[in-house]
Amino acid sequence: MKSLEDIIAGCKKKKAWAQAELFEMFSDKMFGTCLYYTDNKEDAEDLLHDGFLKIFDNIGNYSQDKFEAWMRKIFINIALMRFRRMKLAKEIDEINSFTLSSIPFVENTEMQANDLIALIMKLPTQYRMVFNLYAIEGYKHREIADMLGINEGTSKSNLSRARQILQSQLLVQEIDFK
Amino acid sequence: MMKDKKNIDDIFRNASIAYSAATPSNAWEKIDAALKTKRRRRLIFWISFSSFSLFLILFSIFIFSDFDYQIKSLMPNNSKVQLIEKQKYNSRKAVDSSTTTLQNFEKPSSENSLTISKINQNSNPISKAKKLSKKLEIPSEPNYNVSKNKNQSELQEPTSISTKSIQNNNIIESHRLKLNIENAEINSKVLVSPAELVKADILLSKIEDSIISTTKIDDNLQPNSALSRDSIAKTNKLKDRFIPEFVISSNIAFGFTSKISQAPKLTEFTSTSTTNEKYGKVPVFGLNIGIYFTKNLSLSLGIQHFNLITNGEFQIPQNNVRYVNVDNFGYTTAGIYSVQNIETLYNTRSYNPVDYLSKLSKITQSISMIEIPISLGYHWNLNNWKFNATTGFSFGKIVDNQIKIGDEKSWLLNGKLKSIKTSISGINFGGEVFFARKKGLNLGIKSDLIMYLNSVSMSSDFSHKPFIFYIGPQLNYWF
Repeated sequence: MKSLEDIIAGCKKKKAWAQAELFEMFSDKMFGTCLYYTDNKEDAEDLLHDGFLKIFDNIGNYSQDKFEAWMRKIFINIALMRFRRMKLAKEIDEINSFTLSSIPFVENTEMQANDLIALIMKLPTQYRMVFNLYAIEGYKHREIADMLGINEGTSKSNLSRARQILQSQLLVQEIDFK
Repeated sequence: MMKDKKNIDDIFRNASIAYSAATPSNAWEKIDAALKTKRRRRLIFWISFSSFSLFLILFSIFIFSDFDYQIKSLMPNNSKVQLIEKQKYNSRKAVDSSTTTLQNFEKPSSENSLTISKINQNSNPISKAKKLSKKLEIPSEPNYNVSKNKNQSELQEPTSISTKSIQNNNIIESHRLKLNIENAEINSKVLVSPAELVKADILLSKIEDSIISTTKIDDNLQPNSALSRDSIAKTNKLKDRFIPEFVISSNIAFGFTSKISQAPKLTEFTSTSTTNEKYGKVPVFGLNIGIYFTKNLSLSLGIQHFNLITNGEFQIPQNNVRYVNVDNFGYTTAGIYSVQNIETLYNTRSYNPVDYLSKLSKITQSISMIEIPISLGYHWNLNNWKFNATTGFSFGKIVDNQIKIGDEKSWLLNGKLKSIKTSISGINFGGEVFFARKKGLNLGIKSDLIMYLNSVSMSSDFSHKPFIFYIGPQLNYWF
């Protein structure tokens, strides 16, 4: 088993074996990231495809310590690009027409990571993006507003609404997280 | 009950850290295929770049080697240098011999003999001979490049040269001087009398004047003389190479392309599509402006319209398909196609045209493309025909992309596709034949092979790099 440094060095030299090993090592984790930035498996696959191609193209520029964080950032950037591209009128319709009742109930009584991610995936795209960037990635509202091309106030309200939806869903499931 | 919103953030953050999902089994195959395509594209780019660089280098050598030749032709070449060296050697020898003879001649101390002091004066023939030999050493005249053969023949047979023209006379005279100096060695063996020395003095003066007049006349060579024509031709050879001729051409042609149409990503699963034609049809219309330089080089810039038409059969697997998503109708490796408008698609928004599309249907794709070729060419003449072989780059823009599924009477789908990225580029190799090359209108034949470096296929699973080949008549207007 080769070390991560060897694999990265191989990828920098565009070696096919290194690219395959890097994919093997991180694909599941990154596919998980792709899933909660999209609302369906198909789009997540496309995101995974584009993300790895971009990583292989730009790995020569990598010089940081945290490789996984660097990879993750690339995937998030691609997800943001896709979001900006797909930001259409129908998206606003989606938000406007979204009601709490439209959230499907999670049948399992015990919430697993999969179920929680499934809840995120059910959020309207803009809420999901804001929530992911703020709650999971730790960006500030000003940064999120710049990234998504929205107002800072919109970012805050979207986050608030996303939390409200998620909280309601959790309440519905009667799970006490205390 | 959870009331703290921050806790929600933590819950989901922790969930995301722990979360991973099994990647689809074919995910790596797709990425690997895309990487191979990129590698191939990079290779093609470097091959093209290297070829173009090599072409430029060879072209530069071709141009500048000729320029170098021209400079060299103005300089004395090796044989000329050898000739001058020989003359120099002979002159020195002659002068030395003459001096010896004169020294010997001093001995008889006759009343009418010349003294050494007189010999050493500027007016004496020996010093003149020295001076003239120096003149011969340095070819200061700009048109010194008299042909070697002519020089040699004149030197060998000075008496046979006719004296028809002034300039030839002068040249002959100058060579005769050289011969006289060479022959001085022979003369020096004989005791020279003072009368002979005076005679030699007069002769050398005449020769000196002759050389001066030769220089003047050579500077103003008559344009009709063979020598001047040669000189002017050499001087202007570089300019001659770039005398341009202009031609405007228009061509219509018919050709074929590799199949560009593949199954559109119309469903949640990949649909099946087959093409019953190996190649697509390509009607072509083009306009071209060309510059033909006199010595084989040509440059051309054009604009062409291609209509790439491919036909096939289309069917989606009914058992696997639940819906048809027309928003992601298809995509290239460059980007996703979306449907611009749909004229006919049964139950489009209810996502239930499966019953119709599950039948084997005809699929026709038609891509309209404007292309700008920039080419360098090498042309040559054979009898009255002119041939031109070209290579260069082609830049294309897809302006329309139509797809039809169904049958001609009732299309299941008849729509335009809007692609996100429509630019395409490639390299071209072509040939032209002009049946006659005179001013005005005449006919020719044009053929071109364009190999694209981008893909225009409908699916990343089939990322073809299409080629187009066409041949057809061409109408040319030469200026």
